[in-house]
Amino acid sequence: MLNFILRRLATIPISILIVTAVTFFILRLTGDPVELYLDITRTPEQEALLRQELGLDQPLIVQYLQFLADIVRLDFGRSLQFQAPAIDIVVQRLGATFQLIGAALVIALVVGLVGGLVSARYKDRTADMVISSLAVAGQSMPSFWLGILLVQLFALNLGWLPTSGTGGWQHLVLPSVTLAAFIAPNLVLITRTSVLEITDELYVTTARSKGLPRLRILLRHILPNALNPIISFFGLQVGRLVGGSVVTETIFAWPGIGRLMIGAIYQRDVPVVVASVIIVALAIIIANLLVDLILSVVDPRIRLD
Amino acid sequence: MFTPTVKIVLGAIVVAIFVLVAIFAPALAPYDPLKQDLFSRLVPPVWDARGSVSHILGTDGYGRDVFSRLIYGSRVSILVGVSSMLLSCLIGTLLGMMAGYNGGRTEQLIMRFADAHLAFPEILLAILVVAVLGGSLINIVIILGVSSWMVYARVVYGLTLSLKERPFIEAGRSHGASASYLIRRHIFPHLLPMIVVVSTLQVAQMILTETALSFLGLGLPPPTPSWGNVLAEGRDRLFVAPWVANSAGVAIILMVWGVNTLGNGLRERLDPKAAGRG
Repeated sequence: MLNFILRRLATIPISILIVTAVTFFILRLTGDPVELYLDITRTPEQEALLRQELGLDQPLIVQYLQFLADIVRLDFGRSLQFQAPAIDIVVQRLGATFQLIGAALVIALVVGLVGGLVSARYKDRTADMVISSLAVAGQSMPSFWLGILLVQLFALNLGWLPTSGTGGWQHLVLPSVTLAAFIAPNLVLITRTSVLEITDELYVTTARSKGLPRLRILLRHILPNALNPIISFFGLQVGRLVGGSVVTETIFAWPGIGRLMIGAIYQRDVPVVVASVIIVALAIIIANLLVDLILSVVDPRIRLD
Repeated sequence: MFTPTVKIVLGAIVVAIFVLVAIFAPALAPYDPLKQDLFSRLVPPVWDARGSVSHILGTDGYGRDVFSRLIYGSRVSILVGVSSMLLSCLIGTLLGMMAGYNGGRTEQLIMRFADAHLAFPEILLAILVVAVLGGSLINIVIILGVSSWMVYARVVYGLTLSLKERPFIEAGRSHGASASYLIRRHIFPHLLPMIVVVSTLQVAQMILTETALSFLGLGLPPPTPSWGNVLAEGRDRLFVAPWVANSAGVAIILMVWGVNTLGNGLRERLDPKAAGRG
């Protein structure tokens, strides 16, 4: 187990290097980063200071190392629109995004697992047909349009829920359902497939021949063994969830990091953009690590490999 | 003999209709998609009591004809979807074949890189690029193209790995054929069916992502008539003119459903083992 964790941890620096190198490369594409980091009211003194800080007279590799060193110190420069360190602004917004993603994950898990299990249990019967077709249609649905439809129905027409913003739990309902819709259809189909694959295993036949109740077989013998592809799926979907939360936060004016990033682009606030991109990428790396660790606990074959 | 299934025919018809609409957009669109007409702003669609036949799907806040904007929008979606798919297919297939055929350190490098890339989803890349360089057709195609090569790399890598051990490759090698000859003439043709399937499904994904990026203001700058832009403009007037956002939504879902159905049909036909898998 320890060996597995160490081996897995060793891949993290590679991911971080790639993320930072790509970011650095794009930032230098315009030629002069001074224009990105300072607004039009800049003075020549500020420019000179920044050039020195960024080491623009040094070779690129030295500049990149400087960039890495700043990231390690969490120094992303000052936000142009908020006049505060960019990292502080980003950290303030993380909570709202975690709340949204957390709620969406719970909804997607419940819908995905229940939908997939029911669909597999009643394979090729009406329930399966309905659930599978809905899932396939859901894959073609632009989730941001689903969000807009939900607003029209529940907020504008019925008036049950607020259109946007934050406040009580009512504000969380539509955004988290919208975000859950980004991954729930795939989750239904993956759960269905992996449960069906396990159902053919000999130990399931054995359990059935012992006369165990169906529900017990499903929950104790089939589900634990079907978990591997389902959990791996989450590792691959973290990026999708992040993209989805940017869209969802924009639709519902949710004060998370996604809306911060989009706003920062319109304000040409590059320090905030870079800080949020790096922090989100780090969060994705950590989330993927967690998924792998959970996977190795649930499925011992992985760490013995 | 290739006999198409219902799914393939159905998907192909929907896709063909959209492609024809995109090609003949100037002939089909009743209005100039960019022409503003402030005297006929927010005209409801024809099925609304206040609507008129002159604007079948109504007009938006600037008096532009929604139907014409959607017709021209199909050009953007298809162009972006297909060209970014080709770019990622090229990168992914080449790297996947290299990793699978060479093995060893090349394999380690490429596949670890693919894993690491997962930490950098297209949305982050798009945000960075647009913040620094601004949005444009080329930028969107590059962002989408370089963000999804891993899908091809994984599939191609796995298939190449098993193809490499097949007797006909061994026979070729023992006759002194070079690696590039074997890859070109014997491995690639066997990969082609799977690549076609993945590519089709990827086009749908690319179209969805492009509309999402445009919706966020990270895609083609307005007033370009892309479906994402129309949806974004419609969102701001949802209460008075829901038809703008909704007709763009319907266009997107129809197109993506058509491409997905075609892709799933091809997969079931060309790779029977995967049929029924999610």
